[in-house]
Amino acid sequence: MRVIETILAVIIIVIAFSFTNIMATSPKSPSYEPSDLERLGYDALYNLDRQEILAKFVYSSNFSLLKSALMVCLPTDVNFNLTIFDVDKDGKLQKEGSITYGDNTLFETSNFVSTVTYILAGSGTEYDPRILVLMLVRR
Amino acid sequence: MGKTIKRLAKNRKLKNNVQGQFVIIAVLLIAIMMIALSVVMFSTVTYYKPESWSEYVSLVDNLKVAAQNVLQIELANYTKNLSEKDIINRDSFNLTLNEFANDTRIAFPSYGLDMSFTKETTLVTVGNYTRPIYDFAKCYWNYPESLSGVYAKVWFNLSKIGIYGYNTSVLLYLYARVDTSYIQQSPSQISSLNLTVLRENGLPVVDLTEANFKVLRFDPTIKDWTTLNVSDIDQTTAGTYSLIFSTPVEKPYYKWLVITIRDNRGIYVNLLTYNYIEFKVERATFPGSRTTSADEIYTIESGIDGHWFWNGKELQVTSEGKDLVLPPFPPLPIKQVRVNVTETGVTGPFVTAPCQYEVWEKITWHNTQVDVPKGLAEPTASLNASHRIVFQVKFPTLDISQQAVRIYWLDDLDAEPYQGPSDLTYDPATFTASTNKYRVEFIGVGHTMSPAYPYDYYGAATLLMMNPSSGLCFGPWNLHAFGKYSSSLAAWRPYGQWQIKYWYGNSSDRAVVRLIAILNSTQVQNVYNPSNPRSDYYDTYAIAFITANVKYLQLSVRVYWKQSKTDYGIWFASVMGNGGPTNYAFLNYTTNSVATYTYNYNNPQHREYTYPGYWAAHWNNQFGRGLILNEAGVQSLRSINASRTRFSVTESAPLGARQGSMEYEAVNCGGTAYTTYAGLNYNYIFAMWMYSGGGYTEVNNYYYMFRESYAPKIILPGG
Repeated sequence: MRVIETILAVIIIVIAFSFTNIMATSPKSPSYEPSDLERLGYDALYNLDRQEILAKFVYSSNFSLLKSALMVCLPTDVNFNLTIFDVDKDGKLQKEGSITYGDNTLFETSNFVSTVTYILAGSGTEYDPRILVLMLVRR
Repeated sequence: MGKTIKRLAKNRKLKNNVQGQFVIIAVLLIAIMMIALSVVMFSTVTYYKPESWSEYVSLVDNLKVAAQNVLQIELANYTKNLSEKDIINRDSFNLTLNEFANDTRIAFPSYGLDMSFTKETTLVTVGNYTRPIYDFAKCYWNYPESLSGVYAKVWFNLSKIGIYGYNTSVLLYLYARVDTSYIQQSPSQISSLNLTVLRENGLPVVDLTEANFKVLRFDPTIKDWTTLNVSDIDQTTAGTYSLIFSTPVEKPYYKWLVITIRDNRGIYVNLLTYNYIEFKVERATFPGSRTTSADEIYTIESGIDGHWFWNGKELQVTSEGKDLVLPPFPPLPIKQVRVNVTETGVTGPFVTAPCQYEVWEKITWHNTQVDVPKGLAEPTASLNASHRIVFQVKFPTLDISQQAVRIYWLDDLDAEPYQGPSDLTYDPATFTASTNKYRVEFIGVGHTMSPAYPYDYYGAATLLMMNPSSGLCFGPWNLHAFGKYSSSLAAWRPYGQWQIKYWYGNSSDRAVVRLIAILNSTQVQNVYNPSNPRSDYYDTYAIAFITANVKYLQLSVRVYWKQSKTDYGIWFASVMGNGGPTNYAFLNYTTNSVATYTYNYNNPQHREYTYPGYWAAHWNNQFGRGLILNEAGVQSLRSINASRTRFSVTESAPLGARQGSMEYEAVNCGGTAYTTYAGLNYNYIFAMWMYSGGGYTEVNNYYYMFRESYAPKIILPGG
């Protein structure tokens, strides 16, 4: 009788371990991809901002230099699309311009598109916020 | 017994069966616990992995940087406004920071972001220099060490991801120091200036060029500040700059330089190589038979353009050195200015002297250029040639002939105008100004009659004098009058409304040294037979100074006749007594002697005495009043017809009440009628001296200080 009980107990524990093992399966590695891209994108914008380059290019609408700066900061296999919005007096976003590097269709077709939002307060002595939306995708 | 054995056997059987079930139950429980633990671990792991922690960190970083940028922008704007327009505007901080908080919600709508800024206080210390930063931004300028700084705490709530109350402090500043050691070395000229420029955490500011500096020097030829050309700049060590001037600055003008620095963030800081101006005031009165000079207190106006004034006279300025060099007042907000004086001679300690800031203007009044006060200065206005700093200098004992004065300025740009204790008050409801020594009610248009004096003046302007301690109303001090109405004297008097200058702008900050009352009248009124005021007599420009802490008030009067009129008597002053005084006296201009008289109220008359001089007085045993005329005033008095000048008294009022006046007549009313002419004009300054009566000695002792010949001198340190 006790032998049977012991066998039953072992079976229960094995089932419990199996269940736990099955349920605790980690997400597959590709799901980290957007998070990494976000980090890359944010770091790029943050570094450009700290170097006082970002505001300079954005407020002077020097988008070609801004594109070059982002290309330097991001890995070569990362495509990006940066859209710059002005916040009007009613608090509505007005598109001021955009920059694209790489194939635009990738942003529609890829499953792993990351988006970073970054706010700039102003330039020089004027509070004049811009909201930058940077979309990133790996080729 | 048999039953008992059977029950024991049954229990034993049961016990054996329960032992097996317990193992299963225990194992099941352990399994459930393991599964539950696994589920918790699983939840934790699966929650952490898809949650974008790096994204949140990035967001917070971005908000911190953006908040810092907003504060930097605001500090740049704030200091720019201060530097260029002398405007302090902190409202912009609240507006912009709120706008920024709203904009962040628009930029990051899915985080439940709530951002706010709070004012905090911190100390910025650079070497021995320490200043607090609070109220968002502070500027400590116009010293050899200056600072502009902003400090705030930034708060975030990100409710969608469970972050509440996250906060971080932002401190930004620009500090600069100018090396003034060359002033002690006293070279003949300098061609460079050394400066140290630091930012937050004491980091050197290393990216400045010539364009970031502006240096002003005072140019004595144009009496204004001019920009020095900085031809080169040399950064000797990180943050330490040597500015090279294309034209050297000569001694002593290199003592007085203004340096403005704008860093590449747009933050300004303003430095001066000096923070005070010192000079001496030397009195010209003499001890004579006096035993004290406790009340010899001068109310001096210090003009910004190197001119000083007392009682309407520009003071003589001399130098202790070879050359007379006027130290220039720097272009800073006038409210920063304070005054220290000595009270025991030039070697004595400095004490704070009440001061106020006035604006004066040169007007053309009937083709004559006249300096008149416009009122109290706009406190934030930058010091300029129209400003006068007014303060008092005392000579309390006879052995003191000089006192030192230091006009200095505060470096905190939020400083309010000087508002120390003062016995001067003004009540607009009763039109009454008071000091500890006297009370003055301004009678004129808008307030024609006082409850304390039973005569309506129908818009004629006068000063109703009262004793603040007893409340006794002496009656009016009439500024000027012409002619008689029937037997009533001094009929035609200036008509108009007093303009009172007591407050700084619309603020509650008030004059602490003196109240200014201005009467600019083009009409006259017959106080005995009122009708519409007449415009065909004379114009009057009168300025009364109701001064704190002294026994005198001053009245400056200008009269210009527009048409010829014939009547009896021209009065420069008629001061009523309301039956109070018992005796009177005056200084004879010709003999320089004094005669004393007693009012005869039993046989009231208008009594006239020839050759009035610099003063007259009337008194009883409780109070006395002196009327002191300046030298120009005596000459004006005598300019119309010297033989008809009179000191006079009138012992009864029109309805027969006791009066006891004292009067100065340029043309006596007791003689023939006098015909004025268009263009006749004169001016005079009276001081009324309020004392405790019992005689005239006090007036005779102090009247010299109101005479131009005995006006104090200003002595500047050597160049």
